[in-house]
Amino acid sequence: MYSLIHLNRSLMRISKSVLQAVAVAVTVTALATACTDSAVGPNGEKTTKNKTVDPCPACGMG
Amino acid sequence: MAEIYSSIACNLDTHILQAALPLFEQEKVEAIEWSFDTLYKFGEIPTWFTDLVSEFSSHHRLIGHGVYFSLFSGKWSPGQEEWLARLKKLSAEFNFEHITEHFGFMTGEDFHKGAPISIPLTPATLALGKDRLQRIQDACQCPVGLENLAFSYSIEEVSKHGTFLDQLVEAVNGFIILDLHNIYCQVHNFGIDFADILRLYPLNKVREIHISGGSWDDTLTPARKPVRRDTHDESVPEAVFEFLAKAIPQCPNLKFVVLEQMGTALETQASQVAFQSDFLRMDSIVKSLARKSLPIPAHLFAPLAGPAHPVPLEDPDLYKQQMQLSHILETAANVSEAHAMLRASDLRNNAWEVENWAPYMLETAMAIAQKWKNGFV
Repeated sequence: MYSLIHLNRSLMRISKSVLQAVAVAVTVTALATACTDSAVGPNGEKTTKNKTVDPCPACGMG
Repeated sequence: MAEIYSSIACNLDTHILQAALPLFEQEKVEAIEWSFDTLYKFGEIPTWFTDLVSEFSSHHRLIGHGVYFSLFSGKWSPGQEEWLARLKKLSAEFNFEHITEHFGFMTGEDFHKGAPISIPLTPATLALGKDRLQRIQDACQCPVGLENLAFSYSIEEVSKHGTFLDQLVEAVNGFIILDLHNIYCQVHNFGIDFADILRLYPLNKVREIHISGGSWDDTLTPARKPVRRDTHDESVPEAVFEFLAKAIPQCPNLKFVVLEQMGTALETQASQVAFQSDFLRMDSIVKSLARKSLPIPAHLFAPLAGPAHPVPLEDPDLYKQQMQLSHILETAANVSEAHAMLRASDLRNNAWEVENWAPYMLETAMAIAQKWKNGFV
């Protein structure tokens, strides 16, 4: 009983269009090609002027 | 009833996003932690990524985690000024539930090089840290917190870390990230019981918990065990899951539990599946224990009124010592040479207490500094 209530409150639903765009970016265009000067994103928009998108450092510098 | 959100560290990284995508699709990820300052190499952020971040932002499920601010650098730098300006801009664009940074100062010759290393725990460094936290809060206008550091030079330093963090965050009515893998490193490297370390932290100020994996270093501790390092490149150890189950009931104001892993460690399908498995295990622990928490007061960690002092606090002597230490850690050929260089430096016979540093941890500090001296390449 508790679990169902709790899960419903916590749910984070991402819109399908955003998920599809992320999926296309990481599986089809792959970020490696999505970041040259002439690259386009999943919706046809220009992405970034840089040569590589990843990897990201974030934490883990220990 | 308090909600605790099962979260992932989510950044603009192919392999992290590939690993996270099935969890997003299953609506398992309840919040994301974005290291907003890791995009310094990019002219602009892809729209699809800002759309993803915006989704979490609009649902109040976005938290920000800085990497490069170098909280305890003795000298105020243009890089820090730019970092704050960027944070202020992003805070106007996204709803961060809170902003956090790491303890320590960054070794390395410029703003995006080096790794966080500890500092002497003194009234002077306490004042410096408070000054920097106030500037971060000025920029983001939301709750601000600090993460416990994995690396320690000595067992004495481990014993003081929790209290020092508590005093620091007082300046901003702030909170603490309790990184359980960082504590796992200390449990292993210094032979201390987890429960004993946990008692040293102000657990009522823990708003966020991190779990992750790490690696074993060839350097040996006195117990002839390899040193544990917080490298985020492996699955979560069983012991860290056990720590999580023990810690949650003791942290009444916990709101986010975050799984972290480097994208470079998520290149294979097997590693991505393992990441997803770790997340689901984490989530099951969170869900099984969250119901025992009481509601968290809405303004428990609310920003304090009043701006930081117009002039950033600086400590030239500390900065000089930090530069010397960075140079020693990055260039010494071995521990003996590093010891000799430290004995000849401004770090000798003062609050750094280099004379008490465990040799195996000095060797580890050298490995960390040398690994990251050229930045993330």
